[in-house]
Amino acid sequence: MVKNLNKFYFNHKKNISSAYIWISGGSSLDKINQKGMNQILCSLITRGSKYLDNFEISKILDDNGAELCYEAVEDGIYLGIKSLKEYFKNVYPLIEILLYESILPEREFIKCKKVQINNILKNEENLFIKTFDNWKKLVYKNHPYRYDCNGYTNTINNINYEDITKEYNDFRQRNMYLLSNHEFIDLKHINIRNIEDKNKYLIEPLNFKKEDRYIQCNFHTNQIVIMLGNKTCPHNNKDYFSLKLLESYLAFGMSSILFKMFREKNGLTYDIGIIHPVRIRCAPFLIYLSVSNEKALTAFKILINLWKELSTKLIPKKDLDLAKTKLKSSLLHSSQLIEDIILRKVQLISYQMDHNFDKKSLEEIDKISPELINVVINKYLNNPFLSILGDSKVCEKIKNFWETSF
Amino acid sequence: MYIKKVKYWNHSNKTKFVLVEDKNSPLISIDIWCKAGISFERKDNEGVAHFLEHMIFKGSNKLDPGEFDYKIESLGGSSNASTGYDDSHYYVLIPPENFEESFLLLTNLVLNPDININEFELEQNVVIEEIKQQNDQPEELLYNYFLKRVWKNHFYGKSILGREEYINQIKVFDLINFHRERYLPDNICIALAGNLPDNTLKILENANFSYKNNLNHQSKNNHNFNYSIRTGRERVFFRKLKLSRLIMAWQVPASKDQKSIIGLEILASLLVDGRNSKLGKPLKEEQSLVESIYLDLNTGEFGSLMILEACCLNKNLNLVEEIINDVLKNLVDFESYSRDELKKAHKIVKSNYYFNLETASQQSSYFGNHFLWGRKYPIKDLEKNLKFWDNKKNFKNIIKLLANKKYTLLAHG
Repeated sequence: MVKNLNKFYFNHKKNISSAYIWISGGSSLDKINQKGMNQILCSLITRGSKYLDNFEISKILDDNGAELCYEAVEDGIYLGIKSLKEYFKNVYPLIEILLYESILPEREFIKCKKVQINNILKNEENLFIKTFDNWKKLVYKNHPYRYDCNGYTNTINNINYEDITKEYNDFRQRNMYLLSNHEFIDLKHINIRNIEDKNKYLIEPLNFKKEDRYIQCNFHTNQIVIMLGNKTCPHNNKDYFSLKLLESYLAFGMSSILFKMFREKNGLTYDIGIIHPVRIRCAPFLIYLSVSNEKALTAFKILINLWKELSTKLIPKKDLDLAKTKLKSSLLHSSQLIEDIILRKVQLISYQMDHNFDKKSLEEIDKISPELINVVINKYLNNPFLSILGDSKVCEKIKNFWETSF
Repeated sequence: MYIKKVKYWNHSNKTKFVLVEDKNSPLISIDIWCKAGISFERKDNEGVAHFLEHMIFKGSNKLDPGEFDYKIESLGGSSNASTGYDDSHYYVLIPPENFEESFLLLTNLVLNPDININEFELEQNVVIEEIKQQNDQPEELLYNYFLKRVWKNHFYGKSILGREEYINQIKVFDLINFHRERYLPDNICIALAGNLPDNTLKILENANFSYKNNLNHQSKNNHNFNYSIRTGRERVFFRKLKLSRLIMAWQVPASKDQKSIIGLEILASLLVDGRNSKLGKPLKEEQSLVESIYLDLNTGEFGSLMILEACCLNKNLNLVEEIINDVLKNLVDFESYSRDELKKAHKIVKSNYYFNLETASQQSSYFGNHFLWGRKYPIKDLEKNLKFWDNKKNFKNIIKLLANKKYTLLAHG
């Protein structure tokens, strides 16, 4: 029995039962020359324990029609299991066995490395991932968020078996939280109310020169991929909901500004949106779009104009009211699947936040004014970073315009 | 199955409804299904079904461009649509208190669109951008290439988005004509799922929603033709792929034969689900030859494929193909699987059905699509069909399909 696993029960009756464990840490803990270590570790712990080998573990899952999922993300590792309620008692013990009794078979370690390298290669086919990766390099410098959670071929090759066993010893000391909607005797009813609002993780913006805020990657493609934005605040920061409202205003649904401006009014893009994930430290906030070579410069000029206006003009009240409605309804829309609900809550618990944070934030959202959003925009988004990918000649034109813009 | 309250109902204007009540859901999904996929496009009008789906959101006889989006989103809802080979569907997800208003907005938008030339020209550009984006993704490009090869002259070999040169040729009246021919009560069903109000039927009865099109118009809904897929083996080079792909396809029964489809789902599970599966074990677990291996059913009303896809390093491609062929041959020739393996696959398929019917959107999509094509109470049949394939003698007929001639595409990165 490990003392650092805090187990909670969450009353949500469904015919599907699920449990998720969130282990604090994640790829942010990877050493600089061993990026991808925690991703390998989280895969490896599912591949052999003291009493069950890889195939026996899989057999238990399959015989009960259950699903196991696991991933190392920036701030943690999660391990989840779900099955029909009637079979859950057969599969639930597995999740704790994998956590405490994994023996990290060396043969499986070699396999995990191979799979991860192949996965990295496959991701290289995706131009959006490539552009985002370049953007993170610019913005985060040596911060852990700069790196891909999967690591890179050379850093994976640096990891040997002794390294992974050492990492596992450290892993077992990390804070772990388990949440399930299936009631077991040893689960406590969830009761955590401890919203922190400390900026302890906030990284102050560094002084970047203009040329350090631009990166270009040349590819022979039909479209240019553009990403523009900056790093912002942690999830538990008071500015978070102002940024979330800005995201809603700009990108939620077909009434959003980006949709209207780029698709409806100008027919310039098909895919446009915002990346603003939940992070325990400074989360990225960026607009992405892809646009054909011949229209790329026009689209970029419109984007720059919009970005500048955000810091100078207030969002009209009517638009802000709509953004509030959309943000509130998005919280409801994203909590339909039991696994989504549980994963969101256990992540909040691991951040030492109230698991009912979303529900309770509804009142906070109502209090946010256009002026406050403007302050937040000026705090985080005045000096954005640009990453573009595509045809070299078009990229050069965009670069020239960029140099005169900020 | 836990979804007990499935009701079928007809409106006085001949529109068919399926209602799926799930009081645990916080939302309601309103999903309009229409037999208006690319199967019904004329040969010289490729891309018109998908283009029309875009244009439908551009306003109606009662709604200005953008007004629908604004109203639905102000009501706490979200909306979207998609076009497939056989059908298109348009859906909103909405809090229960705004059900009635949202229903009227969506039906008006889909059944009475107003296609104006300015919006048309702008949206034409958006569709072309969508095509260009797809063409920059090597995996998408390869998949479209594969479908075109395997289906030969069948319309399932066309790209849903159409090609840029075709989109440029489409005129406003092409969209109007397609709507007039396809968006009729006979071709439509509306699925409602989630936390439906107790008086839903009364709301629907009183709802004043009408069709723009001439209801006496008769449209063709079947394609009577014989087809066969391409067989044999081909190699291609896709420079932008970082990992090579092997794709195999077998012709299998169309969607109306749900019994066989479920048998095939069990077969797919037996072959690739889990670390002990027939193909997953040798290729992933024992020899680490593939990054991934999938076996999916690409089902349609006018034909289906079972598609196996493996992703691996170029140097492993031939060996991967050899192992796959060996495993399949053993399965066909010697029935090399145990009763326990069959039982396991059965349980995985059953669980997946439950997992995939958890939300209101999933329910409206599943029940709406089946009902559109005349299949009522598909869940009832699911239990019966799953049971049928538990018998090894019966299951032999499914395995035999693997002995049919297949098409293999080796794509080198």
